[in-house]
Amino acid sequence: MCKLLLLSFVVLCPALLPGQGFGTLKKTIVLERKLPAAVKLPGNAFDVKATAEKPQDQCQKLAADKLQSMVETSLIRFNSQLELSPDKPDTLISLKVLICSAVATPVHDTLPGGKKRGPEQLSGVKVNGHLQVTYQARTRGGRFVDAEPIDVKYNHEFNQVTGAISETKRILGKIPHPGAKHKDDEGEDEPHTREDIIGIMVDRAAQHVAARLVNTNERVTISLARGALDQNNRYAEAGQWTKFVEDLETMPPLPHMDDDAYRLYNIGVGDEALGYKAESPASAKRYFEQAVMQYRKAGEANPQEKYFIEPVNRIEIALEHYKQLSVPPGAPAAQTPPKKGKSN
Amino acid sequence: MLALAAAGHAQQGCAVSKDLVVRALELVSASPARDDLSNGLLLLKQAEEACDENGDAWYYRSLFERKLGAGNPQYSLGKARERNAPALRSAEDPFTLSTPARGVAVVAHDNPAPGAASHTTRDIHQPAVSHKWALVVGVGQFHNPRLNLKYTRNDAQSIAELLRDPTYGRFRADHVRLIADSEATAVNIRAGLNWLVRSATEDDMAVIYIATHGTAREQDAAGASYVVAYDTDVNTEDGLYSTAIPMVEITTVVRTRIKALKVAVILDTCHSQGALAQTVTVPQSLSPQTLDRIKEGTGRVILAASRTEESSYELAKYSHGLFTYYLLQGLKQQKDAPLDKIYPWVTAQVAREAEANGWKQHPVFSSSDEVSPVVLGIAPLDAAAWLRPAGGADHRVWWSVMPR
Repeated sequence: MCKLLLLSFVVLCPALLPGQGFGTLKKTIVLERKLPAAVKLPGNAFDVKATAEKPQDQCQKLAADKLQSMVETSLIRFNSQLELSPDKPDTLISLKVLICSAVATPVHDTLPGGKKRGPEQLSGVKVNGHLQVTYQARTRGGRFVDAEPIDVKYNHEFNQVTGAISETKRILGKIPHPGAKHKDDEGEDEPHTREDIIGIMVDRAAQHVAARLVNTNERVTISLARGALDQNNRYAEAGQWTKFVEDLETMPPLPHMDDDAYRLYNIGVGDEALGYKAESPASAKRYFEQAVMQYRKAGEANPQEKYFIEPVNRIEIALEHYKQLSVPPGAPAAQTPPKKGKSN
Repeated sequence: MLALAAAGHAQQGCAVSKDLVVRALELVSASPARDDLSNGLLLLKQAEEACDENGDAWYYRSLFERKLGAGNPQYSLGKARERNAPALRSAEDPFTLSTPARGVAVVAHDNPAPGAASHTTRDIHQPAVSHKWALVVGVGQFHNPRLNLKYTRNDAQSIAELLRDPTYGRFRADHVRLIADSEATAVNIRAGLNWLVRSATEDDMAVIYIATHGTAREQDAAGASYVVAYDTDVNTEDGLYSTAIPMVEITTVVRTRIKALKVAVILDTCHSQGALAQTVTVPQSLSPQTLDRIKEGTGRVILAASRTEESSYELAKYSHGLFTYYLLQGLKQQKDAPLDKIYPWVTAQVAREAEANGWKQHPVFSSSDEVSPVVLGIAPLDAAAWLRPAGGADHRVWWSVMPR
């Protein structure tokens, strides 16, 4: 009887079994992602002007309006010494929305042989968004400070049966039902409408601009691979990243390459966490380089796992900031010598 | 207890990590107890957790693991290499003394004859000293003027002059390196120690004299753990740990890197009347453990200005620290006497004068062995080439009158 129960459990709950992967019951940790500014602003006063290349395009216009206010807010949020000064800015930030789209496409279930079940077998909705923005920062006198094209893509597939499947799922960290407004307990990223999706893309673009100009600090939720690695994950939860990485590096590789990919991924997470903790930019850069290498190795060992892709993009952005860094962040400011005192 | 101390430091920064490494190294001796090694290893792991990028923590961990026969020293060493650990670059080994067992010097031959032993022994009673080298540090003016001391620079200056004096010290002028005040940064003091390491061969004499503040880590009153340099930041604990010179660094240099068979370490760490109280605690002299460590090996003598629980004082009427003043007098009056013979007189004078002022100060002397006395005034073998002592005496005469 017991065996029968166990067998039923195994058959009905495969996702709960200790295989390698991220599992249905995800183990996530939150990292403080500190990024130094990529460029130095010439002063504290700034102004932001965001425009749409085609003002008649509703998506572009909406994105431009949102972008302007979100960049302003982000800059001040990360550096309270900055002030918005449209009359006398030290830095003028220009943003132009070139592409803006947010499209939802119905997804039909497919039989194993590739045949469609038919229109009545609608399984979910695929949402694709694309926002392309040019960004420039110049001094009031027109001197170049920084410029970059910003390209944000949003690809999300909402599946009514298994939940969301997409590379951005981990960022959103939720499983919404298409078209239905959720109860307000899921957070502000919840994509409910076309406008929400534009908002998510604009937010990412604004974060990108802010990260170029000021030191940013954001909380990133990252999934840990599970299975045979569960025991080791407790070190990550306790913030003992050195021990976490050491155990993973010194344990024997898992027998199958696609399983071992998750061990490599977790090493990458550990290296990334150590990079954010590092005191010297050179060390941070080294940890990020190691993290990218581990994430890539994980991706090569198991190309089917979508979760291995996004960390590489995230780290490459961080690496870019550290490469351009000339002054170490948090370098001790020159101290004012104390008043001369008398010793014995 | 060590585990608790270490756990308290977990999740803190690289400055604290450095102090944890210092704490681990303070447990090192030539023949360490297994418990000390285990505790040291624990501290080093905590140091890594506090600051993974601290390559020295990984490097020393590999040495501790090797010594304990535990863990994975190769893995730790690999991590140290990735982090370009300074201790690895300079091949530090706190477990291996630079001078062999007491009383006998082992001399390695570069090209031993076939069948012959690769080492021979040499009687270290032989008082010959090829060259004499001295690093003299005195910090009176600090970057933070709150720390300023009145006479430490004068102390160092006078010691350097006495050592260079052909009548007393008989050191070659260019063999005495004086680092004072704004030059006495942590970097320069370390460079000075390295100069001594590079310069002094086993037939030489090396002298280290340091006059400045000595400080203990906040929760520790067991003796000075750090020496304050000109640029030491004493405003925060983190600043102190990362910018002062750990006492264990000096002891390690003396124990494991200076090859000279005659080494004298003289420390006059001055009373600061609470100038350091915000960050560190008195007392500021050496702990008995530090004295034990520093004298490991052969021909090591240590003179400290006061006992652990005491402070050392400066006296305006002499324009010197009390200890250095009487040391100078003693060296002049008994110029050919070994330090262990001069010390009783110095300590008696210091104690007497301190008591007359209502203070307590008793200098401390310790030596690795009694068979290899250190005579600061001994003439080096190459003296004839550069030294013209009054009366034309040569170094052989000086040796013959040297008390044994």
